Parts: sequence; structure tokens; C-alpha cells
Amino acid sequence: MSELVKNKQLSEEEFIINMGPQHPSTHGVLRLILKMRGEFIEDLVPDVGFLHRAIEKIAENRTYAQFMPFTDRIDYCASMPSNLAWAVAVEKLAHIEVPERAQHLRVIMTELNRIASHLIWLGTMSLDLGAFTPFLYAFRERERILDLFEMTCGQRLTYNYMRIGGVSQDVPAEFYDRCRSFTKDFRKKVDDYEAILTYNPIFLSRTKDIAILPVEVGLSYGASGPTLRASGHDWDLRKIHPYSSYDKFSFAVPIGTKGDVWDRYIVRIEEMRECCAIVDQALEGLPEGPLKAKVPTLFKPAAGETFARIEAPRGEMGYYIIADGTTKPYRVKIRTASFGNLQLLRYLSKGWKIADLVAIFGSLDVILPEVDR
Amino acid sequence: MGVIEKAPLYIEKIPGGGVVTTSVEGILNWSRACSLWYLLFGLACCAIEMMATGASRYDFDRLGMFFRASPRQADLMMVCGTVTHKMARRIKTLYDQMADPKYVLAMGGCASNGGPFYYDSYSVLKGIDKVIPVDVYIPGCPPRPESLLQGALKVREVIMRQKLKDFAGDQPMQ
Amino acid sequence: MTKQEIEQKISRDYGEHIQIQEIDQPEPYVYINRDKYVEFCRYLKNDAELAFDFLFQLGGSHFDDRFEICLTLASHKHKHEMVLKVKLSADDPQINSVIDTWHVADWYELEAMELFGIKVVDHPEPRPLLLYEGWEYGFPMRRGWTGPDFIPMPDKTQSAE
Repeated sequence: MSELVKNKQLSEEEFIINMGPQHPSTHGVLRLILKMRGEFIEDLVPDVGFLHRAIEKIAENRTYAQFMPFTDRIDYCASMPSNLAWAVAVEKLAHIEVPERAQHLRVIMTELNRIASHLIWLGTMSLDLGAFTPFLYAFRERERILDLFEMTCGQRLTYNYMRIGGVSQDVPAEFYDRCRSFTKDFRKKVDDYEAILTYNPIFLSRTKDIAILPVEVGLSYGASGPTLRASGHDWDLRKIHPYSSYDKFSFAVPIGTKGDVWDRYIVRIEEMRECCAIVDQALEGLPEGPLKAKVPTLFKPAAGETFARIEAPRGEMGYYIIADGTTKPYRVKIRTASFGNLQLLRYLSKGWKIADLVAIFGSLDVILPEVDR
Repeated sequence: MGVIEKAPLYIEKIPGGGVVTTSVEGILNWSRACSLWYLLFGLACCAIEMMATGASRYDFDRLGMFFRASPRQADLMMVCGTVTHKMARRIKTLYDQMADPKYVLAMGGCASNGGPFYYDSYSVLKGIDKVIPVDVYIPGCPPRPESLLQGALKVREVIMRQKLKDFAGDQPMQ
Repeated sequence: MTKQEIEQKISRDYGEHIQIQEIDQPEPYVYINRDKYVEFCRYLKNDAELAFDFLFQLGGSHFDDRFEICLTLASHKHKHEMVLKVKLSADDPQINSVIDTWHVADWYELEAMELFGIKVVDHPEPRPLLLYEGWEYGFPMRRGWTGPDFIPMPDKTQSAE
């Protein structure tokens, strides 16, 4: 084949291809404009904005409590951490102390949602690579987590559970046993997923040594979360700048070695196991107490600014709030993890084939409403 | 939906096998309704509920519905999620690419009329029925999988009520 | 380094170009002049004791008399954070790009250009990012902007007070 090309009997040329907004592998509405030479990618430009819902403009006309449901919709696969980021930022602005029971409940819900978010990632990534079974298994476990959430706050996907100063509802009596039985069974289920995928020769040939990310490049491109930890950089905001009583629990932070697609996969699988450990510890030591600090109904923080960031399942998520002394914020700037992670795609995919692009994009775990807001 | 249940009334025993008599409308509507293939068109949060409805616990496959990635192979377009002005043009293109007969289901508040983004948003289209004709609306943010299953059954009712003359006559072929 | 140590160090090195904001938050909030902005960012990243190698976010704001660009920086080496702000004029806001220092500033600056109208003069590839092709209704994130299909929510909180 290459002799034909060298002798100019078959020509290989550059062409531009569109991987449009409706595509089974772009998780959400992302348009990629690819400049190809044969099967290899020379350059790629992501075209985003198909889900730009002007949430920052909406924030200027809602009170602090009224904005909480919108934070759910910024990252809907992990609504509890998105709620938590807004609650932590406003509490930092107004110097509110959250009671201890509420903090432990926040940790339990956030970690359960981290498992649910990683399960969606696992299902969709293996669906892209051609394995349909892990998708069904992952969604089956996820249904058990959603049962726990529905028991507590009544919703399956966008919870609006956290409030400024605490949480909104207490967990019912059945929650404790069902949660414990879930975490006990879930560790065995993760072993099942690993048995299908981790050392499977087809999966290894599609993910090993593909798109290696060096740490300095990752930092410069704003990568965070498992994407950065897979390159060997030990950085988890739950350990470095602990918030919301994470310093009371002991857990390990999985780190990769090389930074290829397989490392990004294995870091998230290990994180699911660690989340079970955190949930067990938080459930063990759940203290009695109030669920919410005393916050006035028409909450008017003093004029000022703040920023706060937390470790969401996809990376670092945070808010920068400018308050002007009224009930509504003056300016809210939302920083999401996928905004930085998606800019990496252009750097990582140069020189790989288009089939590798699907694996690389799956491993970055990008969700589009985070990018577009 | 009555063909299979009333089959014993209609089957005449003749040497060599059984014969079923029905109307052309009945058999066409029944075959369309029981094998709706939907276009995988998840835009936002409702897409996760659509995926959960198609997955293990609430299964779409038992209704004969399976996802297709290409609009040429799909009958039903389930618009799940918020539609922005930038995306609206592409939705019209995709709708035109689907072959007749095609049906549209607007899932969730955002696709029905803008949802929570109705006020104060400069880039959200307030409902997809401004761009394409919709058959069934499902309220909710996001609707539960049971709501989505009922919506799919309502689409089947819409199909079973169709008459042959809707597909023939002076309608131009698209 | 603590908040006081960071403020002392940057006052020593860039004293006449910066202005430290008095605020009740654990991180330093610093204003920098527009002409020293790129040089200061490079200094913040390359200095061994400060080492701000992670740009967390870059966003614009619109006030009555000015625009502002606000950066949130973090250091992975020394585990401290700070906020850097630049004031821009209200009628012709212009700023230089810091994409050579932190690559992630690329899309943040595109967003500020598109939604606020802040011109980033030496951005390598200016293009629309979030709004649709053919958007001609101005810069939507500015305060007091209205446009077609923009329905403001009626304010019901006034009656409760």
C-alpha cells in the first residue's frame, strides 16, 4: 500500500471532516472539526456552545437559594458535588458555620454521587469501545444508588439537596442498612467490571500507550481530577485544601504512572472503591445534631468577593462570586472541570487515528454542559 | 393493537394453514407501533434518564424500541434536553433527514417550552415546537423513566389512530 | 506561604504597579496595572517561591464605570492561592493575552471577548466560541443588556420585604 503512495499511483491528501453535534460518541452536543491525512488526525478544533444556556446571566437575577437548582444542571451526572460547590462558596462569602451532621451527610451524598458519575463514565466509555455489557451492569448498580437518593430527597437526577448552611432533609431509617449493603456488594461488582475490561487484550490494545499526558502540559492546560492524577501528580483537593469535614476520614488517592488512556481508566476504577470506604466511615460516625445553620430567609451577605473550589468527579469545580449587599449576587463566574479537560483534546489527539480519538475522548470524561454552561 | 388478541376470530382453517384477515391500516399501524426505533439524541440531563430507561431496570427493548445513531434508520426522535438557538438549525436538518413516517416526542420541560431556562436566558429556544412538529410532550425535570415509558406508549396510540389517507393523496413526497 | 508573606513579596518586587485589596478572605486579592499585566503573570508563574502554575479561572465583570478581568491562580508546588484583578476602561476595554503563560487561558479569553466585548489584542485565534453564528445583538453578559427572545423574570422578592 505504501509503495503505491510513494509512486504517486494512489494519493493521500488532507481533508476536513465534521464529527457533528449529533454523534453517539461525543457525550453530549460537541462538534469536532478534524483535519485528517488519511486515517490520522493532524489537527482538531472543538466547536462548543450548543448547550450554552446562559446560567451565569440567570444567576444575576436569582437569590442565592433560588440559584441552587441551576447548579444541578451544570453537571447533571454529579449534581451533589455541584450543589456542594455553590454551598461552600456562599458559606465562605458569608462566614457561615455548617453543623457537623450536615457536613457528614454532605460527604456521604457527594461520594455516592461520585460513584454514580464514574459508573456513567464507565458505561459510556465501554459502549464507545464496543463493549455493551458493562453499560448494562453499570446502570444496574447506578439504579441502587438512585434508590438511595430518591429515599432521601425525592429526586433521581437533579437533587437540589444542599442548602446554604446545611442540607434540606434528613436520611430516613432504612437508609443506613441499604447503604451498607450497597457498599458491601459494590466492591465485588467492581471486580466484575475489571474482569471484563482491565486486562482484556482488545481493551489493552485500544488504550495502552495512547495519548500520554505529561504533568506540566496538563497543568498548563488546566487539567484536574483523575485526568491529572493518572499522569502521576498527587493532587486531590479533598486532601490538600480539605473542605466540609473531609479531613476526618482516611482514604487513599489513586495515582497513575504513565498518563495514557489505560491509566485514566484505572484511576477512576480505583476511586470507586475508595468512595465506598469514605461512605462507610461517614455512616459509622454520623453524629446527631441540627441539619442546617440559622440563615435568614432573605439572605443578604455583606458586599465582598470570594472564590471556592471543590473536587468534583471530573476535576476541580468552583465559583467566583461578587456580592453587592443585596439578596442577589452581582456576578457569578462558574469554573468547571471539563472546560480545562476539553482543551487538552487538541493536544492529545494529534497523530492518532480517528478510532483512537474515541478512546481518548472517553478517557477525558468530558460533559458538555460543564463546558458551555 | 387488536390483531393478535382477536386472531382466533379471524383465522379461518383451510387445508395447508391458517388465514388472518385484517385491514391494511390495521396491519401497517400495528407493525409501525410495535417496532419504533428511536434516534439517539440526548442533549442534556434528560438524556441520562433516557439512557437509564433504555438500560437494565426500565427496558425499552421489551417495547421493541432500540436506539439508532443515524437519522435515516430511525422513526422516532426523542428530543431530550435543552435546545439552544445554535442547535435548533441542526435539529431541523436531522428531522428532515428522517424518513417518513416519523414522530417526535419532546421530553422534559426544556424541550416542551424552555423549562427552567425560560426566564433570563438569551440563548435557549423556548420549546422545540417552534422548529419541528411535536406529537407527544412529557413534562418533568427530568421526567421519571415511568413517565418516559408512558410517553412512548402514547406515541403508539397516536400511531394506531392514523388513517391511510394521511399517507396518500396530494401530499408531496419529501 | 501565608497571605502576608505573599503580599510582602509582591509589594517588594512590583510595589508601584500593584494595589492590595483589603478583604476578609484567606487569600490575597491584588490589582495590577494593565501595562504590567503579562509581565507580572510570567513572574508569578516562574518565581521559585510563588510558583503559581495553575490558572483556575479567568473571567470578566462589568461595573458601572469600568470592566474588570479577574484571575484565580493556584500553586501546586506550594499549595497557596491568590486572586489577581485588572481594571479596564469602560468605553474601550483591551487587554493582552496570557496564553503563553497558561494555555488554558485560550478559551477563557475567547469567552470574555464574546460575552463582554473585552478585546484581547494578541490572542492567536480569535473566533466565536459559545454564541451561534450570526449573533448580532451585542455583548449579552453586560449589565442591562436586553435582546430579542430575552424574557426577564418578574421580581417577586420585593413584596416579601
